Amino acid sequence: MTLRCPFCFEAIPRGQAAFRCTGADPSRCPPVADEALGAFRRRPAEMLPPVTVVSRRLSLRTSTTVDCFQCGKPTTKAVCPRCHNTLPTHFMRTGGRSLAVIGAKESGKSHYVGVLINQLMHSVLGKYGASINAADEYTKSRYARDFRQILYESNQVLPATQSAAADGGLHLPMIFRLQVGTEKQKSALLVFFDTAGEDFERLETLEAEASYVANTDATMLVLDPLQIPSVRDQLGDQVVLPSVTTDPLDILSRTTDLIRERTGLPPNKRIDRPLALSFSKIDAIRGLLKGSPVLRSASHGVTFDAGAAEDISISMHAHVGEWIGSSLDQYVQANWSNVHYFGFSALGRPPVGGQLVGGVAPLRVEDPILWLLSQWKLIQES
Amino acid sequence: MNEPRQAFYTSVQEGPAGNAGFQFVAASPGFEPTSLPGIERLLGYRPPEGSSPSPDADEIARFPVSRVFERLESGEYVFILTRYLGRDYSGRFGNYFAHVVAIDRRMAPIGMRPIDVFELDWWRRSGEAESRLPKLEFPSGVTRADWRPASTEAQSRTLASAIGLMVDQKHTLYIEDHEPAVTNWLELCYAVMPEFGWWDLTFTTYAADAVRAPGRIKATDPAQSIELQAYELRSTASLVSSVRESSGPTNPFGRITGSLIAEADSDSLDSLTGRIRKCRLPLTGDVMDAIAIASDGDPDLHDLSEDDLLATLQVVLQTGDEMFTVRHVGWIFAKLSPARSVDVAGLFEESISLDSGLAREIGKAAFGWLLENHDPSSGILRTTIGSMPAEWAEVWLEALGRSAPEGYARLLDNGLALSLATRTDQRRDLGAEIASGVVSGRTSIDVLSEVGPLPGEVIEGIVDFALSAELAETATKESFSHATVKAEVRAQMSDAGDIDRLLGLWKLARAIEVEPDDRSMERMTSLASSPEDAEAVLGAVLSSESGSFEIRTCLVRMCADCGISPGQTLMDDFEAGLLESRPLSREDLRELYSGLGRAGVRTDVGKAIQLTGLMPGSATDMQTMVKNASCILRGSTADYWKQEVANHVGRMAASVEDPRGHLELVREVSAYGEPWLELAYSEEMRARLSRRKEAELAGALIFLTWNEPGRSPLNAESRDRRLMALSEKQRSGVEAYLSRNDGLKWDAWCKRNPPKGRFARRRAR
Repeated sequence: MTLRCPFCFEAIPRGQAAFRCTGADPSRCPPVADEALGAFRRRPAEMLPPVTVVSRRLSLRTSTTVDCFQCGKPTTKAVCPRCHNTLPTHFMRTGGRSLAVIGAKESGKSHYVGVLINQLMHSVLGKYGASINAADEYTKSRYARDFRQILYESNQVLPATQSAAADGGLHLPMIFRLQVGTEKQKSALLVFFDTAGEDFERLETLEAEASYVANTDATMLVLDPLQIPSVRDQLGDQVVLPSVTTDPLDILSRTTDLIRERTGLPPNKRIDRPLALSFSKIDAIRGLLKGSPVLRSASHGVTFDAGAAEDISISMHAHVGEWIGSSLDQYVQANWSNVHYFGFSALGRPPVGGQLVGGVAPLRVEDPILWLLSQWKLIQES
Repeated sequence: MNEPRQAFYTSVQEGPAGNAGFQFVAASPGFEPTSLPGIERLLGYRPPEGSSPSPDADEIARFPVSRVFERLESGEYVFILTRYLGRDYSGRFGNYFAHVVAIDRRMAPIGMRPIDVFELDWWRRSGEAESRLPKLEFPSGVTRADWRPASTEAQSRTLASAIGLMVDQKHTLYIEDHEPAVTNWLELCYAVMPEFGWWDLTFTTYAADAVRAPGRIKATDPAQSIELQAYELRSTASLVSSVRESSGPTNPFGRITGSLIAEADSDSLDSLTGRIRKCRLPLTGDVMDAIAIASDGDPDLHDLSEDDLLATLQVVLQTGDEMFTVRHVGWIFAKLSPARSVDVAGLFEESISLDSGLAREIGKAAFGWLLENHDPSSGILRTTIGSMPAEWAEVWLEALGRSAPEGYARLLDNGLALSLATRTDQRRDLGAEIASGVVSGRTSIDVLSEVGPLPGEVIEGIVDFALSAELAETATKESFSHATVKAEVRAQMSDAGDIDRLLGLWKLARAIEVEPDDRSMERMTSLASSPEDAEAVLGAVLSSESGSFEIRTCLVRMCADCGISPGQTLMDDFEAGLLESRPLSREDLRELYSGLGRAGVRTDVGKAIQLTGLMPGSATDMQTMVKNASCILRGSTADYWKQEVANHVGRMAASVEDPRGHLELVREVSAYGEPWLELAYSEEMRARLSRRKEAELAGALIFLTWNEPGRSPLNAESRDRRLMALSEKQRSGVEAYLSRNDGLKWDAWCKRNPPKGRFARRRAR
């Protein structure tokens, strides 16, 4: 498996590792201008302790420490050899699995990520003998500040995600460590990219997200049924509708083109990474989903129930045809080889004036990620 | 571009291109901010930590306004004022409004600071006016209210310290404070920065994530609590915070400028910025400190540490700048405590390349300080002088000789002047001065040991001095008993080409307990060319306790050469030595006994032969005896003496039966044809040797001729072939020789006499 830096998404050459000096004494190990990190942050290079790059066979798996080339002090702080971002502990050994969550503005991407992580941490994964926790300080503080505090403590909806083009010019991923099993433990880093809807509406802003959208191990397209004209018509005044409508095919086709362009995939070949087409906010369209297995509450065993997931996928697939027509499905079939349909509700009920009355009550948010974990053989399938 | 260009950025339901979300909603004609790389990434706003996720209008009004000033890669300067708006068109929070202005610096009036731009009436602060861009015009001049710092002195000092550091390249200053304190900090920054640096002082007055914010000064709300440690920035960033009140002054620049700011001493501040502007060095922290110290000029005022003073000294040396004067140097050293260890030599070394007059002044001042505060016998002075480069050694010596003769004398007496002089060309003179100090008892010879390796010229100087007439009387053993001096004396004795100097050295060597080596004595005897010289040498050598047999040999030879009598004592000693020693070489004998037989020379033949050490008992002894006797005889002219020797040798030879000894005798006889030897041999030998032995001798002669040293020994086959070629008589002689001498059995003989030279090489091949 090619190891990709979770920040710059460049492949880390086999046998290469880099470490930043952690020597506390700047007079013995004077900081140097870190051009690589500066280029990544699109900022003038800052003065930082020097990075020592080592090239030796097996260094990734066997060596966790190296002596700083400048001051000779041992350091264990691994950084990406390309962009010099600090890698999560054991990243070089375990590698990472990354998921880009894309979708139109207001489709519910951030809510999905925020609620999903809480569900994984507190209720779902335990049944699979697995656990998840933040892999670095940035993730820990960002999740606490930007998600948990707002959703679970203040019971508010999340603010709009800022464009990656603004806000310093880049989005950093949230990285979690997944550990499965107790004795023969499997471990992987899950890298989540939450994106801003408007970045997928303009080609120039898509560029800001391009590196990771094109290189993640899986893609999740969040489809807001309330932005689909036929659904809006059927619902009438029953629910508060989003202010905009976006054709999900636009976003998917831009993403597909981007992946093809960046990975050099010829047009006659399909993209083989998993694509989870997920309908959000299904609580608002219960009436339209009568009898669908997606409305049943999930029952988790020790293995991933592939049969139940398949039922849901077939059901949601049928609804897509019904609501959007065959164009999306045809496009997906022509370009993606491993597609599954899902439905979820992150909040469980519509917010009232930005308030989550009664708190967060998610419905089937974990389905897509469990499917991906089984695809990646991190949990067993029944 | 004649006027500033501008754009608005916010989140709307439908922007100019029909999209929803954050985007540029208005822009000056032709100004496309999205195509200007770098502008969009400067945008963004997140409310301070801990604020409500759904703030009401009052709360939003209290959120800090973010002002960003940054330079774009295109060379344009961009100003961004961002205000949080709250909800966007969809009702979600997170919306903000940013007013972006890009200018060419030449548009701004002279004297305007970037922070002043935000005070102009240009700025739109909400989305209401988003579709109408205001008209932007710079005022014709700058009218700025007289600003006085509102912060405490401690804060001023802290900030000024931070600025001192920030001026260091690529350093970043973080500010943790509320508005308007942030503006106050910025004003402080501009107050201590010279005008030319104003537009390099990029900043962000508020960003939730200050570390990722643009600018060299980055401010954030105290609630964010910047953890520099976590971002690995501790070595290149400094943090000021009125919330986390810094307790005290840090570096001199901070302390001095801090108090200037607090006292609103604008004249001093102006002078300070003027010096910064003139400074040709990179403005590092140390340089800023030095400039501040030099500007103020009174070290007592600011409680400067010695480290600060020395760092300043370094800068002074590096610059050689006119902003620093001898006065500064003077008070730096005046403030240094005597206990301070100062790498003065190192300081000078750095400055040598500058060739600055000030650097020389520092040299003198530093030396004066060292001399005044340190005993010359203490280690500090010694270490400093020991590592002093030549250029400075000269400066010091010059300064000393002219202005501090007393100090010079102290150094001289402690050998330190010598140590200094070792790096200059005053070496030889100093050697003499030191030596005179040694003789007069002021300087201990031990000092020389501590000085370290002394250069040859100095030692030569000392030896020259020691050889001078005055010293001859006063030199004591202790005065010059120094390993280096001894070695020099020894070396000169074996090199000296003048008999008088050599005699002087000989005398000195005896005084300082230098064992004269044979070579020097040999030289002395060989240099003596007149009877007077020979007498002097004899006087010097014989009065000493030393004098090996070899020396006595040389003396005897010298006496013979110069035509004086060696004297009874010398000859007795000499002959006694001879008797004790092993056989002499042929050359020695020839020289020694050439005079024997002349009138007045003892003619005790028995003794003479004994002197050769030969009382032959074996063939080898006899061979040596014969060789020595030949030597004696060849060097002698007296016939009676020859006869005596010949008779003696004959008698001795008769007692030896081994034919090889006789063989040597026979060879000498045939080679030189000495009639006496022939006589002696033929008469005495023949009487002694039986016929059989005579035949055997002849056989031995033949055999040994076959097997002369250096030739390949004959193998059995060759031997037999040769035997067959001999006459009957000869063959029986050879065989008799071989059979009589068990030790000469053919195989054993070959073994004992392995082939040599080219034969050996040939065989090896």
